[in-house]
Amino acid sequence: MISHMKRWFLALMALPTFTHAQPLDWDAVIADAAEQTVYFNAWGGDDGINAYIDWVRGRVEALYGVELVHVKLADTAAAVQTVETEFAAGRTTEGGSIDMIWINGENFARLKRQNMLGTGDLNQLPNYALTDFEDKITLRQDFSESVDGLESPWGLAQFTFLYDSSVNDSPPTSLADFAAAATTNPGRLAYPAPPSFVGTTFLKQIALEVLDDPKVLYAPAPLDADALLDPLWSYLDALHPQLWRGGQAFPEDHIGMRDLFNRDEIDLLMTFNPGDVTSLVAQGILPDTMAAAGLASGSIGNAHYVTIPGNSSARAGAKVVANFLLSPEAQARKADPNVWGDPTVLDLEKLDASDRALFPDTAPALGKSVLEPHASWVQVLENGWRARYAS
Amino acid sequence: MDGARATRLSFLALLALLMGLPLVAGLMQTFFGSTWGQVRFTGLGLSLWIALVATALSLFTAMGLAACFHRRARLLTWLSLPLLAVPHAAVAQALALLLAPSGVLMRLLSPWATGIERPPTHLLWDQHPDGWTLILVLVLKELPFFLLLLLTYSAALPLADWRRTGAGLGYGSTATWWHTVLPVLLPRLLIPILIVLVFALSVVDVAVLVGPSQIKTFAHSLHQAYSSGVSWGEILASATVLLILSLALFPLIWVLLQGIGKAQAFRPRSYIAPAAPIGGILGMGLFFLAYLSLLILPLQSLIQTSGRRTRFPDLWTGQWGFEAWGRALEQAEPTLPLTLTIAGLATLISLGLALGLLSSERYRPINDLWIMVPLFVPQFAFLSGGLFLGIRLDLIPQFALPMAVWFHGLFVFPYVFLVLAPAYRGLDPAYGQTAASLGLGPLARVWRVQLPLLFRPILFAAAWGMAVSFALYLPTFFAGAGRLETLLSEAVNQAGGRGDSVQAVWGLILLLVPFVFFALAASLVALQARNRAGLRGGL
Repeated sequence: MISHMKRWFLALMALPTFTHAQPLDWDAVIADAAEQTVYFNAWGGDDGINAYIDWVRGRVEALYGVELVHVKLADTAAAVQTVETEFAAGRTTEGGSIDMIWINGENFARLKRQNMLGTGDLNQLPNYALTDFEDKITLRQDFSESVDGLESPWGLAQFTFLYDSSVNDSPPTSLADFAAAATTNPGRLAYPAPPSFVGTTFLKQIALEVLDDPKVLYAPAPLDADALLDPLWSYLDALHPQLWRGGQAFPEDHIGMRDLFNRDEIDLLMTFNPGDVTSLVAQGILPDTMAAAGLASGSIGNAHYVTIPGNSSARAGAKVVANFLLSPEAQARKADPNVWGDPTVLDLEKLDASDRALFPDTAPALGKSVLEPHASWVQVLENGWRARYAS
Repeated sequence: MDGARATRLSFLALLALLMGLPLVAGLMQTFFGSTWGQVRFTGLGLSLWIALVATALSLFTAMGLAACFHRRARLLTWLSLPLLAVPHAAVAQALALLLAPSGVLMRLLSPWATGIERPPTHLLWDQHPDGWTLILVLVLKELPFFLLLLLTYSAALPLADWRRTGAGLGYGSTATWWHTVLPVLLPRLLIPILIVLVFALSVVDVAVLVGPSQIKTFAHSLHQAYSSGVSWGEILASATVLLILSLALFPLIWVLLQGIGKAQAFRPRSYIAPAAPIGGILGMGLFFLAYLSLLILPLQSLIQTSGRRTRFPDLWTGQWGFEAWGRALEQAEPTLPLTLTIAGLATLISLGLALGLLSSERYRPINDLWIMVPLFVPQFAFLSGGLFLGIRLDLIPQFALPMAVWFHGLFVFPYVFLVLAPAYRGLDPAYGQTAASLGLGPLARVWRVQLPLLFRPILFAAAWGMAVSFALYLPTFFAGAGRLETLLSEAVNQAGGRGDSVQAVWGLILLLVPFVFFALAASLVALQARNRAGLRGGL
């Protein structure tokens, strides 16, 4: 009860600063940042990404004297909960244990809703100007939640199929294709169960293709939203018996799919990182005959970010790190499939020739992209799916 | 008496402070933070079914094994200890590798016996929708737990006398055990049974691996809600439901145990006799299955699966994969000092507290139920209170290590106490009196008489405490704001989605470390017992 009252109080207090971000004095930030220790809470399940963050640690130490500590998470929700508990316990402006979180989507929206994310000046970081924010709405809208300078873009993602080209060289390029492939190879296709991220996105992809008027998906979901999705449900009703385990079981998430794939139970993977096709091969997780494919009508794309909690103990240091993550040097290294293979958020046109040359030729290219449907549809899709297939 | 009273009060106060504070904070936060009206009940019935069946089955098979083979107590103990040491998740993983439609068993039998060229897609063995796979994994783990407790408790009973009496009445030793020992032991199992029930109700990691995939267990869907950004209040509300359910099981199980105990004692022999052998045979089968599936892990860990697809029905990809071992050991090694420090300190403090509390018991016995409270409250709710408290008092993350030891102690202490209490209470006070008459002071009596006598249970409790601490993830995470990296947190970070070989390597590491604790305890006991003939034998 106390924590609820406190949150209300905080929300009121935070409102003025929230809407008027102060201009950022970058020299002062750099001066403050020296000697600070930045605790960066980021998912730690990938050796390539961990090694990249370790490289960033060395660079920001050398360039700015900032000490970066990677706090490895199994689940970003744990960091979100830590911030929430700290706010509830009265640590609302400083003294927090988390200085930076790798975040997007629901976790971001949840912290933003509770005004736990600083003053919204991250779009004033010097390197932000180099990003492609004018053309890429995914850098301004995180799952339809307006970014408002409360998080700083780090990389891009796009829904992608992965397949073994030595076995099959005609991946589905539409959802009609997907259904046909499932019928020809019963039991060999699967998708991760919603509400896992990739699973829910797959439902959105189907909805975008099978709805008579997909434009409704870009407006807030109306009261009869579930009925509007009828074509999606009939698509799934027909599809499920042809899927892995006859649609009676689904992989927990896209990572669970990899195990099934390597055990020769399924033939097609789904991911949100188009760079997986090279980086997971380079890391020896997938066979070197893997290939990637998008949907001909466009695949859903979004971005991932870093954010700084409002109670960070090293705000200046965290800003310096966030800015370094947007530097051509850091973005080019991240795009290298032998390192991570994550698509850059920078607009290469804005870079000078020497910076542009840093980017490897093998950097992952994004296919034709479509926007995320309005965020309100996520609940409709997940509830509808659960009611029909998981209860 | 005043001295004893003061000691007792100070120990109780210390315990109340250490255990009660985070608990009360957790309960308060759970209760007041809950968003009622949004509780999701999905999977609650399934969870209850799984927990009840798994507990009943493991108890039944343990009773059967104990009844049939109690004269081979030592063998049963040695068979049980390794399984007790293995984390639940490792058993789940091993069993999945064995039983999955694309698992070792199916590959061995295909295509010559099954006639299939591709893994059967409609079998749901590895994640049975009614929870049978989850039940199986839970039984494999809890059967040795119950069996060890039955053997430990029954060691204090005059078994040989009862056997003779039973034989005089025409009963075999199995029937005697079933009809005389069991009714005495069953009521004492109330707390262990509740621990197993609550664990089965709230387990997440095992449910993710082998639980039903569509209608998930309550705890599993709670966990999923937590990761997918459902509001904290809603999650706390569901956690409260779990708590209330756990508490409601209390009286139910108590009544049930009394009833079963009486029934076993008075039913005519002809009617009940088959139960013991059926349980025994089932239990043997389960032990066989457990060891068979655990054998899979070392084999699987040596097969190169990363970057390869193991074509069905091939058993291996044609390449050995020692690199998975190299990498995992490299990542595991730096976490060992911290892992051992936390586990060691938490265990040491718990041992001290337990012994202190038990030594003050001459004054008035302590109700074990209070000690076990942390095990009945879902970890999730409990720890969020501890986290709140730690932040409020500026202990987190400034004092991460002591906080981690504290949080671990909350879960280690009940187990240490559970193992130590029967042994300590069974200690014949005559030893102390004899020692006193020989002129030994109170401290010397503890040091030279009680401790040597309790050496075995103390070491066993220590090994158990270390193993419990070692398998804790959330307490470490919350205490250190994620900054403390133990072996388990590294395993949790590393094992997801990196191929069967990497998972098998981590499964094996998780299996070997606690096993080392138990092996160490066992060899120390053997060493100490060399010149103390009367201490040999039994547990």
